[in-house]
Amino acid sequence: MNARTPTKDKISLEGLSLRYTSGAQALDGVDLEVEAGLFGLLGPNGAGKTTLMRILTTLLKPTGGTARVFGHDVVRDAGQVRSMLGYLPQDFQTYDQLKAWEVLDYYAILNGMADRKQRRVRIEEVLALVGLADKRNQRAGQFSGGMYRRLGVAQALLTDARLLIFDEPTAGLDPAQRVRFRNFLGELSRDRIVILSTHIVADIGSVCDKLAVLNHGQVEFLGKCRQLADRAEGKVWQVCVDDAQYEELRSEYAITSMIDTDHGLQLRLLSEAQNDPDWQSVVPTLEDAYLWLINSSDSHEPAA
Amino acid sequence: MNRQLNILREITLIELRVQRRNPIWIISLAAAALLGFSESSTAGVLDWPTTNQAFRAYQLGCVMIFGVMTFLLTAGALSRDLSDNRKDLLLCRPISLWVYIWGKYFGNILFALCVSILLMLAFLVIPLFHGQSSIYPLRPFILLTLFSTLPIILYSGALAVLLMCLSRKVIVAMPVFLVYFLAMALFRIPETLRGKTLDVDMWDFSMRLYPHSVSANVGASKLYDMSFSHLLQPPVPELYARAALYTALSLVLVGLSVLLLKRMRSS
Repeated sequence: MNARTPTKDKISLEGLSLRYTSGAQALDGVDLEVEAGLFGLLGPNGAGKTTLMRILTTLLKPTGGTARVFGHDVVRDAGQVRSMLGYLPQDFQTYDQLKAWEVLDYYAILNGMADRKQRRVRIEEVLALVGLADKRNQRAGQFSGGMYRRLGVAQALLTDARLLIFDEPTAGLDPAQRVRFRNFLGELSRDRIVILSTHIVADIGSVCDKLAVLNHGQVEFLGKCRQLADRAEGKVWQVCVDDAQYEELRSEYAITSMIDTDHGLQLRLLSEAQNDPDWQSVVPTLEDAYLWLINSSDSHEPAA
Repeated sequence: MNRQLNILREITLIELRVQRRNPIWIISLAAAALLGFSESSTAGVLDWPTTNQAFRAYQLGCVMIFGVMTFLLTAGALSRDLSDNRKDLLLCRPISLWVYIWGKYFGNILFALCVSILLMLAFLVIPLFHGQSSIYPLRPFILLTLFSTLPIILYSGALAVLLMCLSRKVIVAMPVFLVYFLAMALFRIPETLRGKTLDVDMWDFSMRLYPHSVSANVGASKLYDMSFSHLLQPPVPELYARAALYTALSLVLVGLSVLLLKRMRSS
């Protein structure tokens, strides 16, 4: 990370921790700096991604460390942080009986935009930006999955937020919609910070400049996508096996893909060393590298 | 301050716009109007004491219908923002929670009041449908709206806001609200058993607007005299006290709800 970037232009987390009253440690000393661009957040379920996003959106108070958004502390200056923030939750739902422009009008009021004329202008701008200008008078309940998501993005853009946080934004979209949507996210990130949390590694790999991998509440990796893929160099193998061998390998190694071919099952597996001369080393993808990282992180984790 | 007031006004207006499309009020109004018209058809119009009875039925109907309707509208409005998958979208916004809650409250109160006025206007013209040349006298209806219907609208709305801030689910809040009606009835039973004749029962929204003591004999029956000549007299002073009490209580409940929501935001 660029230490010279002024604090007021980035998000900085120092030793950020959160322990729930139940005793569960959701975040454990997270240090992170995020600058303008599209930043990916990866991790298995329960890794702490949602907790981290909820702290950044001022919905949770950390129990340790500090989180600063453009120089503002998320606890002390929560009001200022909220005014710079656009958030799209994973299961965005809204007033289905209202027209698209009315939904946005409501959220604009909640964002503190009191002037009606100013609101209308901004709503038209945002609708055009997400490609829903011609659907402005259509009820939200009649929208397709992709249009509904775009409406969700539109509500996050109403205040011209400097920080956008999207939780699983492509979930439920068909492949074509997904590609369009992530390209759109790429455009949005040109002049602001966009944090994208997802389980779909391909989404991160295709649009994010940088990413962080969280596991057990800690940052396991922080850097560029290519750097993560490089880390798994020499640890991803390809081999063709029959059903019996497959069962044997499955119990011993993490298998990242399996294709049924004419010559048997073609597997991609993760291993620290070439344990069979038939194994061929292959160039790791981001998904291979992510799975390798999580596997090795889990194997070092002391048994609970 | 001015900006906050503008936002408050905008939330109130948008709430009116949203509720305008809510079928609950149309169903409530249609049910109340149909019942009223059918009651007047069978009982006769401007024919003492049936007019008085129709007025009493209207009075009690207003309490029940507007109590439940205001609760459902307000609770529904809040559940749309406070349900599990939507509350984050509200709480991460820069809006003051005082402004948000009061805006929602005023919007729904104002809406329910407008519907109650519509119902009142529908009732006033009943005599015209029965060959009479004039409508019912306006004064008792206005007094009823101000001192009986409005307090229950204020109170039911406030109770809805509080219960929704506590439970965030209409399905949980509704039974609690109905328990309130049960409690109201329970308060009345001991009073009735003791033969108590309070002019104004502090727990009863059906609001005996005027003293009980005035009665008249109609055949073998002894009926309370609430003919229109009597209704045109000023109401008993306790009436104002009770309306003020419920208004104050409503304001306290709404204030408490804001504190609950603030606590939810900063958990």
